[in-house]
Amino acid sequence: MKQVVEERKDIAFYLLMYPAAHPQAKDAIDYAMCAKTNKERLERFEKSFDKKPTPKAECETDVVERYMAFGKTIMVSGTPTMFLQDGSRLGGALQKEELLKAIDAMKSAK
Amino acid sequence: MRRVAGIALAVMLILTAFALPALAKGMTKQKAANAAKKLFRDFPFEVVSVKESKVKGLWQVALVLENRYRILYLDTDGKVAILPGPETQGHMVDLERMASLTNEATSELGKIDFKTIPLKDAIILGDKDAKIQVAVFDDPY
Repeated sequence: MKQVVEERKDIAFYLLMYPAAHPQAKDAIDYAMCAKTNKERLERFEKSFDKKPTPKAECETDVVERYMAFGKTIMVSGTPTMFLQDGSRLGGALQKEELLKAIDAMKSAK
Repeated sequence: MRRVAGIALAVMLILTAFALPALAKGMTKQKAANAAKKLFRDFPFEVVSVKESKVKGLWQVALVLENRYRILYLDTDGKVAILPGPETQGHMVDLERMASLTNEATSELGKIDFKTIPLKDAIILGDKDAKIQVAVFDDPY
């Protein structure tokens, strides 16, 4: 995804925190969500991929709970699961090329 | 004697001429081979037999491919195939687009209304005003 946004300024990813199979990730996600700016949230989120213990979240947030509840209603069973603007669902980790192909296929269909 | 044989031959030719259009409405080995060619491309294969399956309008085509007997089901127009076997999991295939209709139906089911996704608490990667938005359910593992 990082490579995609570097290459394509017309694409943005909206990351929705969804630790479906890893409830232990909630602490790291809460810590990320408590950051004040998007930039800082993103940095904290990316750092959490190291899976090192994160500092305690300095706020209380129910973002995880809300996204978990919403995700269940649309049967998101694993991560990453992506949705494009035409509503189509892409499951699993995709290569950059596959992802761009799917995105551009949607663009031309409109 | 020769005359009788000549008449018999003529009758057979006429019968064949009448029988052909009737066959063309169904499925012929040649039609099946043309359809199968779209699937198997450069792999040599031979259509062994064609007969109507138990499902009306669906033809059971037997062929030899890579020294093995295989069964393929075709619609009468030769435009749609069902491919039994573990490799293809019984998918129904549109032969004109070479696309799995089974996969397309599954992904259609997974579609949602993008506008219903609450993006307010998302962490944004890229320009937040980018024209193309992709919502990603993600976690650090």
